[in-house]
Amino acid sequence: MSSRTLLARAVLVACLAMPAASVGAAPAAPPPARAPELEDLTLSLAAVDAAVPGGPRGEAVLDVGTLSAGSAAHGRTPVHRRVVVRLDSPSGRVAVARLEAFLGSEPAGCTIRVDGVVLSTMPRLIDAVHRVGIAVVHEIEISIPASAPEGTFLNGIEWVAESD
Amino acid sequence: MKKIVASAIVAFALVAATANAATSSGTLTVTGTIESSISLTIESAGGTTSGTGTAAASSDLGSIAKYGSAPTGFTLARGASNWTLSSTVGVQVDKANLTSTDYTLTSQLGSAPASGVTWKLNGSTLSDSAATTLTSTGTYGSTGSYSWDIVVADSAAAAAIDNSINFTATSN
Repeated sequence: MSSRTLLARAVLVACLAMPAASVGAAPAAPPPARAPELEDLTLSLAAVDAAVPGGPRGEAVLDVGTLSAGSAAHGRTPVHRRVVVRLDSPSGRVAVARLEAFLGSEPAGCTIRVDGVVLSTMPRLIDAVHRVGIAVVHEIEISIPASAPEGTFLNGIEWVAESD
Repeated sequence: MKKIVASAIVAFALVAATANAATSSGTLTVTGTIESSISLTIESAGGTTSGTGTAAASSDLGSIAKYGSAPTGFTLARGASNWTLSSTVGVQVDKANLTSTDYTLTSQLGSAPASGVTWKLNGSTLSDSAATTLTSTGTYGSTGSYSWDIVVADSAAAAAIDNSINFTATSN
């Protein structure tokens, strides 16, 4: 019997033996407490220019104040704000991740960009290799057309980080 | 047996790939208030102008005299006891985030005119004490042209006639 064959058999025996070990055994002792499993990837947000501080991890509020398109003849007046995205890997298994963003709702004529990428309700790639373990500043640009109705502006930028 | 081992390895590889994919997400709530606004610009004027296209333009007429030449962009009409320099002023008002369909435009002199000098826009005499309505149905986004006359009495002293015309647009 070659050593390759022996190895295969040994694996098979081990697999079959495992369920049997628990059958008919003495009352099972409570399983040993397992250490909480560390998450592979977490995302936290903080609005750099925000008037309202960030909420729980993964949530933040950015109040851009009063927006005005200004003169239609002189073009729109975009508002620029910055947000910090930090990805962490408590388990240490992830070094980089793909970061995407999309809007919670259609922005009613307004244009919202993240790092120059126009957002919609469909996910858009912001960074294909976003670093894990450091805070990265991203720029948000909001353009208001003259035709947008006055009133409250409210939208949500959803961020999704995914490792390979 | 070789075949089985190979299959097992492939299965493990697929499981490993699935187990390593990790996702995390967050929400940045963006709030603000869109405010309506209008802007006024001086698009043109007689004289040697600067700052047209902005809200603070200036016009230099140079030295003017009844029996001299008309300044650039002006015509000169001589009367029996006075003389008139005539030109136009172009004013544009734009709107944003506003449902208003028209506006009211008024004008007022920045200071009292020199003695014997009368400033007129659209035929109405301007003063520094009260605003004069030029139109109450101005159209947004297009330049309104208003006649501009400076009437100088022959009796007026030879001196500077410097002044400013303040325009105010109010959405209706």
